[in-house]
Amino acid sequence: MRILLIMLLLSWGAAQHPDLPALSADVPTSQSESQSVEPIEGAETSSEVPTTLTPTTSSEGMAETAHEAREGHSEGVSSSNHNQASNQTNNQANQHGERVGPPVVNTNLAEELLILFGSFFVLAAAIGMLRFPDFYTRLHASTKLVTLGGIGILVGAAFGFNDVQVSLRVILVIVFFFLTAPLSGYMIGRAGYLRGLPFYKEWGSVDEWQALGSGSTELEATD
Amino acid sequence: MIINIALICLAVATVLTIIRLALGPNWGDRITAYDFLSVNFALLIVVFTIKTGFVAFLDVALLVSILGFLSTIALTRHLLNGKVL
Repeated sequence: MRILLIMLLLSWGAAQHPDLPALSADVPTSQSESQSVEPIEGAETSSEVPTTLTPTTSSEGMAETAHEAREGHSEGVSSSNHNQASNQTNNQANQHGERVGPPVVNTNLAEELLILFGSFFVLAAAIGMLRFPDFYTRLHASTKLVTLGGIGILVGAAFGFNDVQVSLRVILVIVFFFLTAPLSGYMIGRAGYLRGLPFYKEWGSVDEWQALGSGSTELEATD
Repeated sequence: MIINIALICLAVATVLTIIRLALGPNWGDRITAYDFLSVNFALLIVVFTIKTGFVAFLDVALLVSILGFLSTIALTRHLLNGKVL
């Protein structure tokens, strides 16, 4: 489910990119499309790009990318302003109002936001790693590094490059992180518990494994 | 700008984790800090890839994360079972 969401995000990011040459209609297009295109054909071919990029996306993602491309085409016809700096704010400001500029979606904004998010969570995990009082709570803090920090930075890298090879490698690294991070956390916690590392006892913490696993008498004794 | 801020955050996280690696009271804290450091180094390489634009560093990040995972598993199995394989 997460992988499908990430691939949908990547296909959305890739669908925005071929709109850039097709909207201006006098700039020659990129190498993957035909040379002199009308804006309608440009919108249609740009909607077909994510099918070759991610062949396993659902029909929902296809419909969404087609809708994005069609919306971009209609906005591009309605006006001919090409100021790239103010386009991002125009698209976000009046989503339902009047359309001012062509929808040149700057992928740098998504990249920078995701990388900032991810690095902030890495820093928070390191602070929790330093400040927590116990081995088990430190393990809890360190395994939370991967899910938010790593995925933010990696998806930000995929947005920044906007390339198929980088996206495939990023998906591979994300799958590897999601496979190995809970396993290593489980192994460290299992080894630490079975060899009897001490845990923090000042908040009334109870060893539930020992209380529940050693029979009902201890459970009645603790209750 | 944002890339430099992210690099600074990852470097500060590395320094804090090295402090925990130095003064961890148990071996469990040290293994946890080591596992954190391997993932942190992989993410640092990814951010460095974005900064330089050299795509082959992503393979380096994958290799570093594989080595960190395998060494963590080997350390825990050695400490728990007395043997690795």
